[in-house]
Amino acid sequence: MDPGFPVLSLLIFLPLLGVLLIALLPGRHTRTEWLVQNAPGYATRGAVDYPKWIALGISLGTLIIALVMFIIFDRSVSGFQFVDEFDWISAEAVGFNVTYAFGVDGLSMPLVFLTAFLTVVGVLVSWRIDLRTKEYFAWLLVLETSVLGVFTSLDLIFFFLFWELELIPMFLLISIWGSGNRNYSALKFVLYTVFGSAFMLAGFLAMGVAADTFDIREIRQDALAAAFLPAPVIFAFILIAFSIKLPVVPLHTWLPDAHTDAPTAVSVILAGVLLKMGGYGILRLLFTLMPEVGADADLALAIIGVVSIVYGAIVTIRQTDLKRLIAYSSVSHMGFVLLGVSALGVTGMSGAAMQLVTHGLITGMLFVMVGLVYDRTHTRQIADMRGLAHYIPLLGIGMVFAGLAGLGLPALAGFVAEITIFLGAFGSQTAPVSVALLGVLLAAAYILWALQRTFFGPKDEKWSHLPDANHWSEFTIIGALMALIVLLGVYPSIVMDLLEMGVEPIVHEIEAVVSAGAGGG
Amino acid sequence: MSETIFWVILFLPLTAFVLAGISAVNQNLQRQIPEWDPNYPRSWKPIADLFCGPRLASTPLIIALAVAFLLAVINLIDSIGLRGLPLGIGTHELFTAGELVVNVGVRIDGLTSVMLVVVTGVSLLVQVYSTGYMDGDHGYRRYFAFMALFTTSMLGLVLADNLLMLFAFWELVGLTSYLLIGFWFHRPAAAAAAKKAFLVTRLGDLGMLAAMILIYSETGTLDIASINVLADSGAEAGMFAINGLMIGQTAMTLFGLGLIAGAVGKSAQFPLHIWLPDAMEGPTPVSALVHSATMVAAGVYLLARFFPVIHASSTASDLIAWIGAGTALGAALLAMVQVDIKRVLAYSTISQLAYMMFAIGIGGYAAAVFHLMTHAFFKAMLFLGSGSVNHSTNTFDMRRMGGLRTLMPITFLTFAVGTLSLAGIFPLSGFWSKDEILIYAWDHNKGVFVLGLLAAGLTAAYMVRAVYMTFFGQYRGGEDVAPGEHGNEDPSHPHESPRSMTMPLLILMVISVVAGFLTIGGEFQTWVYGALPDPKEGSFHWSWGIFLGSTALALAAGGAAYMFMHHRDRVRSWGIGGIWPIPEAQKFATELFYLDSLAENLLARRVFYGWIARSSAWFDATIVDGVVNRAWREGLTISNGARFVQNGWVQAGTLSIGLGGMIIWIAVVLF
Repeated sequence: MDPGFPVLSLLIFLPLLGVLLIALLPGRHTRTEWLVQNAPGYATRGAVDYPKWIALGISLGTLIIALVMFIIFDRSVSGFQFVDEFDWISAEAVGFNVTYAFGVDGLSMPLVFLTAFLTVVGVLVSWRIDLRTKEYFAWLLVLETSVLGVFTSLDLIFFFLFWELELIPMFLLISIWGSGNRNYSALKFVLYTVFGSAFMLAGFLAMGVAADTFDIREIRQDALAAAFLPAPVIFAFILIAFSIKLPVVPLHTWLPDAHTDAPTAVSVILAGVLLKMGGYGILRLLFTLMPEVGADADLALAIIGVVSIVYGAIVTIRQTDLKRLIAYSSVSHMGFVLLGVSALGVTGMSGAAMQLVTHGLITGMLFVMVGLVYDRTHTRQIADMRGLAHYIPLLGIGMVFAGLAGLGLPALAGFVAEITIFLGAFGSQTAPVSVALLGVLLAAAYILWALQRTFFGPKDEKWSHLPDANHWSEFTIIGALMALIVLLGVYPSIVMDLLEMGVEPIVHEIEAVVSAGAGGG
Repeated sequence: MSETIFWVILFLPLTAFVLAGISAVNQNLQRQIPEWDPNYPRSWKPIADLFCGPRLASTPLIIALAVAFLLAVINLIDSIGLRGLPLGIGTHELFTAGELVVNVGVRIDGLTSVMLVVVTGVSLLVQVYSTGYMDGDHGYRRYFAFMALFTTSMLGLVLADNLLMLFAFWELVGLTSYLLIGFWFHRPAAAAAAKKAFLVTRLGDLGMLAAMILIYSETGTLDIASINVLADSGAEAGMFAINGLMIGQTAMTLFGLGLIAGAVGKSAQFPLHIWLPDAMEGPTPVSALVHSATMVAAGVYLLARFFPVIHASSTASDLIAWIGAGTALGAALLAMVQVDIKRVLAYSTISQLAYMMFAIGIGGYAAAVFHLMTHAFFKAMLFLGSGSVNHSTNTFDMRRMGGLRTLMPITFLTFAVGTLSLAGIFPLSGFWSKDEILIYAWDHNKGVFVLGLLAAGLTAAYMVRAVYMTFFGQYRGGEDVAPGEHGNEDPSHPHESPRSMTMPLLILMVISVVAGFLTIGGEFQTWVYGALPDPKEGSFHWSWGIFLGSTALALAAGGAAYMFMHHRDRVRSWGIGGIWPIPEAQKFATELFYLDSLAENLLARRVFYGWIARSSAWFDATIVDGVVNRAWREGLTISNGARFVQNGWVQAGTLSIGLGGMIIWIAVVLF
């Protein structure tokens, strides 16, 4: 699909345009800031809060571009579409060639759409923020650009740049607008990620220098024989970075802290799309560029995945903070991605990619719901809540719906991904899949028990003043998320077909090296 | 009939669900309209009310079910014309992922046709009853939304032509059961029971999920008919092979065992029976429809659907036969000591489902399905009867009832007919179906037969005890309405329930009386045999010995129970407190054989939550995260230690350069 117009670059950099617009607005005077914080109702009496409207407009624009791309995406051709490219750095002599190259294929297209969608959700769920709104919405848009860049980069250097760019807005968003132990959590998140990035950069440089190019489409494992690091080491280095991001046990402890202390919108984007960068990277870089090493690592990946699923779910059950509980459930759910990948077949890998998309929607919705509840109760401790459904029934419907989606109920999106992973992976990873089934039971246990303790039970007078969902932004978010989760649950083809297209070339590579290896003895 | 008709049957209640759901959400929206928009245009009110009225929740569902029931009856007549043979009706591709092709499709044969009539028929009557029973409840709309969703899921379950679709609807009925048990979520017991039901059944579902994954990875198909044909082909040298599909004997056995795990969970068989009695926390019509007539019978349906698979392995068929026989007797023993009328019926349901289970295990496929059908009608009637009693007394505790025979004559009449049918008294429907199972057991497995016969005697005894405590003797006052609940304001004067509740009871009574005659001549058996890969003509079995023996046993046990209850005071004076002469035995039974506390307190709470989960959480916080924090702290310490070098003094920098230069110079000179 070539629209004859750099639509992808527009998509990636449109949010930055929004940042520029917001930056050009006059800031609120210190006195205004003081009034907002100390005179109740001042903000609503004052002028329109432009930053959030600009952020909404820009993120909606991005979503529309992503949607149009999703619709006109040519489903009959495999490979990258909407490609924008030109040479960026050509230092032939030292073999350092960087291309400005962006494109989407079946694997990244749904993730691009997911990012654009969840950013709109993030903007809307932040509608009532009134602390330093200019910077807040600007950083949200920077975050969107960086994630879109990661999902569409076709060059390792750009991939790395965008991967790192994401840290700046995240650090500021958590440490300024967060709650609880936010400085610790923000720093932990950044340091942990940078720790992994160091390994990733070493791996990228080794690959790029050996292959004379950083273009993902051109690097192949044969070229890596000359690298200054052996291929399995490169693989392991890059895997460390992605495992931290995904995350997998035992590299996961940054996640509950960062999620819990982040503002709602950031939790949504963090769980919804940032974790997906890890899974996407594993499929796009590790298995595409180094299929042979990947094929040898299948059992290890499956075991790590199963440990994440089961151990993550068991730890989740003991959590006492509702947001932390959901954060931990992500560890368990992301284990399914590794399990699906380890199948090394189209079915399992499509399921893993599907899990990235569905988990983004479902956990995004769970964080939205917890955030909306927290806005009202000002506590996240499960022990403090009881019988909330009596007073906030509409939020109760949303919470129960999201919870059921999270435990993999059929007709909702999560089921499709999990069942596809199970069916795809059992043949090659029989024992790990058998153990992973426990995760399905444990997920039901922690979610239903949490619902029972927070939303069900007798009325508690102390919550009788809570307003139910009552703002158009809340209805929009809940309605849109529900609609998408049901749509993907009953008609998964819209996304599954694309993902299947995206993973097919990867599987072909793997099959080619495996059969060559078998043939060569 | 064309395929469209079956999608219509499925989508009718789904449409009702959407309408009821809109109505329920609208109710909650309207509650707070003045709060969020003071300028809410009042002229919209009538429109909003149209979508908020309680009847929008119930009327469409009743109409939808009436139409669906008619279609199901027409289909059954068609199916009878075809002797129950399968009409291979369409399959559509839903999505693909590599080699995996997931279809949705319907398959119609004698078994499905019977199930469609039972589900739509009982659901229709229960919904009519519910309009009376739930009238005035705050959650009326939500109730019908859940009921509509349940009926949809149950219909999908019986229509499904492949295992994945069946599993999806299987989970959905589990969900709606969860929502309905926890319907009155302000009661902690209801919220806990809902969660327990979902988790215990899901434990069984894991087996079914594993079975599905296994059969897919072995044969590459999820199509029910193909799997059955494969299982029916018979093993040669440990391999089943037909039509290009192949599977080993071991895998086939494991597949059967996985299905049995699913069925044992859903149909509340030992050891996963513990959720069903707690599920009685749901509204009574829910217990009638979901927890006696349809959903819990889905386990039996599953095994009947995969009958050739169960019998492709003697391990699987023996296992289910003995689980069934043991559960039939054990649950009947527990039913003897319950004081809550719904719990008596719940244990009775477990016991009756167990009959169907062991019937399948010993090969009595048609007898099991027949008992499933008759049981659905008379047990739904019994539950609805207990709801009718509750409607006027506000209690399910039989110690607070009594003497309702004259005060609630229609309820008494229908309950009595249900009791006789359940006890297997000639010529009511329960007699025909239960005797058919017993005759089959006598011919094929004497051990199972003995357990089944004992359970049949106990059935008569516990039902007579329940009827006596509820309807005979003096009225013991009922219970006042709990604060914040909805019920009869004057429980000291019980009255017969409204017509919306008694009509369904009377209709079910008529069905319960006549349904049994379907078996005479083997007609019914022929229809359902049509669903098997290798259909055969049904035949009617009759055994004077078993007829006389089981009837005599039922009458004797019922009579003994009656005498015991009637002369309770004199029996007490002999030093016998409960129905069990030994106090220890009585306690063992009232403690439910300690199975519930073993599972909940020991396994779930102590071992899992208190030990496994707690140590994992400790490990995570202290070790896994501890290492990270420690590394961080050590890093800071090292940095702090090295900081003195970067002190910014020009002199220090010059000194370093000088010293460094000297070291290099010395090194160069020396080496």
